Amino acid sequence: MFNSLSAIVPMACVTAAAIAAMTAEAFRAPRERMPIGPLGIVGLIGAAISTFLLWNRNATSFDMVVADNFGLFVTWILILVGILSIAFSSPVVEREGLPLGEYYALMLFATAGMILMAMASDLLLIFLALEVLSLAVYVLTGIRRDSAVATEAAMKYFLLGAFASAFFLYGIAFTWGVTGSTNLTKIGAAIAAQSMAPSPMLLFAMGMLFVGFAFKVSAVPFHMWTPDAYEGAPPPVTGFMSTGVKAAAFAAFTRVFLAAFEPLRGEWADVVWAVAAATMIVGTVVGVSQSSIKRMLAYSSIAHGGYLLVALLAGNDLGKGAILFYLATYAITNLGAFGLIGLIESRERANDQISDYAGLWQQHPWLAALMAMFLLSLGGFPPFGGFIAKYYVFIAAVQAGYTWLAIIGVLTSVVSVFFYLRVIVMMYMTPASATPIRVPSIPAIAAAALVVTAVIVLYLGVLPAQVMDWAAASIGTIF
Amino acid sequence: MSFLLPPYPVIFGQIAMFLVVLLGLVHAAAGMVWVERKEAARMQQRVGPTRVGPFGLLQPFADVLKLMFKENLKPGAADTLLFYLAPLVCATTAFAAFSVVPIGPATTLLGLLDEPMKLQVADVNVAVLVVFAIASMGVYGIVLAGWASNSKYSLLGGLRSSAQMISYELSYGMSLVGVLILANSMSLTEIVDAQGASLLGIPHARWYIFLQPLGFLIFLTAGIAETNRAPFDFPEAEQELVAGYHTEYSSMTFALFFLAEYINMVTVSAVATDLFLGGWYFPFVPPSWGIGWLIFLAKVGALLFFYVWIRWTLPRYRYDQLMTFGWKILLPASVINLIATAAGVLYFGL
Amino acid sequence: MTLFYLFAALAVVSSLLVIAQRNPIYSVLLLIASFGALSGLYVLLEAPFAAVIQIIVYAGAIMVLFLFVVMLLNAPQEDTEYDVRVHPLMRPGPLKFGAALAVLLAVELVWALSSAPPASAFGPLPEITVTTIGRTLFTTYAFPFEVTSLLILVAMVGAVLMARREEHSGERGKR
Repeated sequence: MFNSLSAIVPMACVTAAAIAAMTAEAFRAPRERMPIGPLGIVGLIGAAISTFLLWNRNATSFDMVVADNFGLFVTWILILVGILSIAFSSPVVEREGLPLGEYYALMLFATAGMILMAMASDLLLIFLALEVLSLAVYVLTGIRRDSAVATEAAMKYFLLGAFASAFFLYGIAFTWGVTGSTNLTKIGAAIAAQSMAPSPMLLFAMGMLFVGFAFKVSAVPFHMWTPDAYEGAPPPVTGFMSTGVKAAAFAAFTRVFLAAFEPLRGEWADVVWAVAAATMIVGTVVGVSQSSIKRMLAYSSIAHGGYLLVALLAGNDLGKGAILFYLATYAITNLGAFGLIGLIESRERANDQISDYAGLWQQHPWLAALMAMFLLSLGGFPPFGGFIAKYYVFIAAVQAGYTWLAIIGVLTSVVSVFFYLRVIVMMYMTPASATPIRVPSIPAIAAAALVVTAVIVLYLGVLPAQVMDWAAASIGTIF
Repeated sequence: MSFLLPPYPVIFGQIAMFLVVLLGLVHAAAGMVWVERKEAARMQQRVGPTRVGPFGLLQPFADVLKLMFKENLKPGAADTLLFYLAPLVCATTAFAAFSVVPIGPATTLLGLLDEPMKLQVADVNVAVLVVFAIASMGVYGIVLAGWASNSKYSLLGGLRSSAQMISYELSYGMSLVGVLILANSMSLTEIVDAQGASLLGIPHARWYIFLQPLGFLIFLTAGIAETNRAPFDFPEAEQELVAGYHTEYSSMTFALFFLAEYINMVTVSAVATDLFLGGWYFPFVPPSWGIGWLIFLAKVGALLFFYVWIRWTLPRYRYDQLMTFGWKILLPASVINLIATAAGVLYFGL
Repeated sequence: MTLFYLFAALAVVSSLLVIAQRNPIYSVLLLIASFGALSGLYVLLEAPFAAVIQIIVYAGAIMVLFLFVVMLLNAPQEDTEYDVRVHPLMRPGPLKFGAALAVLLAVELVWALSSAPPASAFGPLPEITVTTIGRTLFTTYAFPFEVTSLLILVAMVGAVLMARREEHSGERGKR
């Protein structure tokens, strides 16, 4: 009985923490300070421990949740994302007067949904997990209710997200209609049996599922919501959703397309190729012209989605490992960048223009150094994690015969360096404006999170072997 | 000419049944109006209608005639289509909901038919839910009437009624799940048959009201709220809202609302009889006597009288009291009843 | 088959009219009609339970709330003439583009449905009763069922958070 439940333990830990956060909020007197954030971190650590114990066990629950190493690896990323987001949130929540309990509860609910999505092996469950995390993130996006920008962002995200969910659900319905199952393994078997002549219905279903996933990972024709949502949400939430949602969606994307729909690779490869190329190009080119640092990073995160699609398309062992490694690196680096933006914002000034960062070096040398590090890692400079991650992606693409895609990837990477460097130039070489940024004292928990983030980024860049091994071990178990 | 002689095909019986239910409901509504007026008068030490027919029995028909010849008014700024659609929705749903309610055991009508016929218009295996589905559509008539009239009293009446009906529909539905668990069926006929039991050949009552007293109370209370009757008649609270959602209606459009209200009462009473009061079963009356439908009608009549009695006895609630009562008392009570029943069936095999 | 086409046409036409209406009340009513037609389709598929639940939950409960909100907002028109002229999505270009996409989707759908699904995917269908639905829901699909409760909890927290009055004015007040 309990053995059969083991695969859902990590998700259950996070859900329990979320419900505890909600309950604590109910008993909180107005303006009483309560350690709800740390409570959430405790739940996430519990989930991390259970994930560690599940490693290499291949536990399955209900025939719908599989705790294989692939899912567990992504779960680790998600738990790390959750812990760091909560840590970065505390100063922002206090400064903006956001509703304490609900904020953390929603963040934890979203994390639970993400973990479930990474481990789900049934389309029905993937959809439910997707909705849990999406609903929570929609609300988190618009949680600053007195801000018109935030409300607009949440509304756009919600409406477009609801459409994408409808497409996804339609895809599930059609898949079920053709294969008679929502279980990924059974779908894979049914498709393999008829892969010589796939029925139009099946192709339609696949297309719908692809649209749903492409929306969640903000691949290019479906990326319209991204800059607005990333700009309107509080920065720690942006960090959370630009990494967590993407990691969870890519995990499910990989499972569905590289496991269940693998026999149809001939049908979807060209589409993914085009979308990956468009995503990298649009993300980079439009990112160059942005003046707001949040929008710039939003386009940068779109471009990163493109690189991940390249790895997914490559689909060989190196590519699958590269997806996991890239997700880990990108998640940590992007979280660090948005966490820092959250610290630099202040109640009086948004400080979200790139020009606001002029002369940050003189005011806050450490913050400037960390920011530069995160940006360089995102741009793919050695010795940071981003370099190794991109390197593996492109190697995998070339090995799989997608040389042109690799060339596009390298070129867009080079172009993207331009806008990352622009911020660094602004911080280090431009004299400060009349009213330079003044960051109030940084709470210990956020400072610790910054240090942890920086250390991981460096570690992934200098000594990637250990994590690469884990990633390689993760993919061996399922595909 | 032999096909004109009995036994007739059962389809004739079903057509007759359809007409009987249709006309029966109309006349039941008329009768209820008379009972209500007479009873109100008796409680207030008046005489009530006496002029038209013996004991004023023809008074409702006179009322209908009067309404028919009145001018049909429509406010100038009203939405014409919806204004006339609303009463139709109300009346149609009221009639339709009764179509799945059985009023007696299957019968050959004393050998007139070639095979037994069910005494209901349509036998559906999810009849309980169908009653609900159709009743839940009835609220649109009221809401639309409130909105289309373009008058603030109407609008407030419509809003209140939709809030009230949604709130009480939950308890209404939950309260009878206990019965569904006990009978293990959603067909009203099967539920009634599950309540017929006999000991040593003598029929006795295994009515669900004895096993589900709380469920019955909740059902009746929520039923009163669902039909917008006093003490829950907020949509048309005279003192506050003139006449609520049908303030602006006159002539036959008004009559349709009036008709719908009384038919809904009949439906709720009939469903309650089938679910809780053993339908056409009565102690010491074996089914072979063939008077099941009379027993059924008597029980429905008793419940209808109870309705009237309540209306002229209890004062109207305050609106916030009504909502608090519905959400904080009635709904938890119905959930507790459900859990207790489920546990009873599971552990004691009720 | 006649009934199927009748209900299907009703569902499609009323759904189209939902978005063609300027008056939100009519949109809501047409949506109810569309749900009713869907429920009719369920009956034809011999799924009376799904049909009745469709009416009770969607047409009976959810749409009443829709109507409620529309009436409270009391907006007789969705958008003003100003929006029609100025809004970028209301210009002829985007409108044509959107229409083209919609037509494309419809064509794809017809193409997808032009092929019958492999019959082998499904065995003989069992009779669908309330009992079988309940059993499946609480055995095979017990976990998704529980996850749905999580989903509803999240939705409730979110809705309350978005809708509640500003009671923490002291906490955020100073701006």
